[in-house]
Amino acid sequence: MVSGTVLPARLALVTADPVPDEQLMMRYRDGDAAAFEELYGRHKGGIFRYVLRQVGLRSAAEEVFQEIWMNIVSSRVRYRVEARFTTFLYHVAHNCVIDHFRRKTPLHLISLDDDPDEAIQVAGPDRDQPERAVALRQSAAKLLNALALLPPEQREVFLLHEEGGLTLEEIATVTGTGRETAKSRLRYALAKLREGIEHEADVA
Amino acid sequence: MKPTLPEDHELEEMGSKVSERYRAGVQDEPPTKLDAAILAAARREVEQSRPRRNWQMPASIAAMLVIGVSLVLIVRDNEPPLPSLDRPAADEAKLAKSAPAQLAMKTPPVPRADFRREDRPSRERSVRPDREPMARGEVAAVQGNAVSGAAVQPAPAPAAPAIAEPAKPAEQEQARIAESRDLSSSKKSAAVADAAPDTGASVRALRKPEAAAPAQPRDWLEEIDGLLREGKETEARRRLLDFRQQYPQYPLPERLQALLPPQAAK
Repeated sequence: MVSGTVLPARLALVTADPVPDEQLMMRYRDGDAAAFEELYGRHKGGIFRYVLRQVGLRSAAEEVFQEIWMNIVSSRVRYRVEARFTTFLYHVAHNCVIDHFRRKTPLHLISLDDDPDEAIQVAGPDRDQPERAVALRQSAAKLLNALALLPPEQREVFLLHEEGGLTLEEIATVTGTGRETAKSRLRYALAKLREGIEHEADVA
Repeated sequence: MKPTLPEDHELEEMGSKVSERYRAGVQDEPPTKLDAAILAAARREVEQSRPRRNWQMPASIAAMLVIGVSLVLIVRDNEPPLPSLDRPAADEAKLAKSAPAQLAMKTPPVPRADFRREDRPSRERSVRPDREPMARGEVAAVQGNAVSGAAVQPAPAPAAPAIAEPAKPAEQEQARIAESRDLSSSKKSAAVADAAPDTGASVRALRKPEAAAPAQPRDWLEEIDGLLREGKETEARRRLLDFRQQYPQYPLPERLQALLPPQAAK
């Protein structure tokens, strides 16, 4: 029974509201390196997948990923809270990906082709169920293939929505388009991906 | 994290299945090495921008102050000699020639430069009462500067006569003699200086023996002796009094001391 007793400090920390990203970035701007570690831990996966799904090659994705975070680090003194930190972060990521494509011809490859063992990791509970894990793995591979076949604009909007959790307004801000354009792209992307999954199920 | 407007709920429902598949399928993460590199760079950036306790700056400022003050003191003690002393002999001759004889006579004879104090500032030399008479060439140079309005002022002698006072015949004659000697010595110096590659050094080298030559007071005394030999005793006394006024410390021969009044003979 926890009620009526003093919560341990560790539990209190767990239940406390997390520090907002913007506040962490402000703390990092003021010289708190630990705040950056927290921020990095929250967003590294999303940003990495956002880059990887667009760039294709894992080595190239790592390069762009590093460039994104170096931009964040170097721009910390100029940081002002004008929008959600996530919007700012994915805006930087968007620009870095565009720069990458300007430097190189884009390769529409997915991580499965680069390093299947690293690229596909089935979520924890499913590891105990080999059949289910295999099914999810195959399903994810199909979804990623379908994602790779999307037009770049639709793919990016889907990734911003899924990995960054951005709203349509934020997606429009990051991609430099209108809200309705972003919405339209997202609708098309979801429709094609669902179609791909259903087609896969029908085939199966 | 999802579309917020009511009309976007359709999108949400549409994407829920896709989203579920997408999230459950893969979890790509950056490699640990990359994480470590980025975090290290972030820490480095913070450490570099932190104001460090910098002791080099105050130490360097203090060192610069010490060196600067030392240099000022050294330069002040070793200030270069008068510009006229370094001027080539040809210029000196020209200046001496252009100076009117009357002015050259009226300007009081400047004591000879002390070799040991040649590197002293001109201001310091000009106020020293116990200095020795200056060499003739230097007198002409200083007089020339005085006439041409140069920055170097002639040293005010204790009993210098006024410039407006009319020149006496004997003084005019003496000025003429001094001028001719200056000219001849200056011409010699100029000739040697023209032949030598390093004009300033050679002229300075030549000027030192010139300064050691018989000084003007001795000539003056010889002139007085000449007047005595010619029987012009009154003129000789007057010249001797002038001499004593100019050079109160100069030792006089006994025969000349006898010509002076007792208080002036000391």
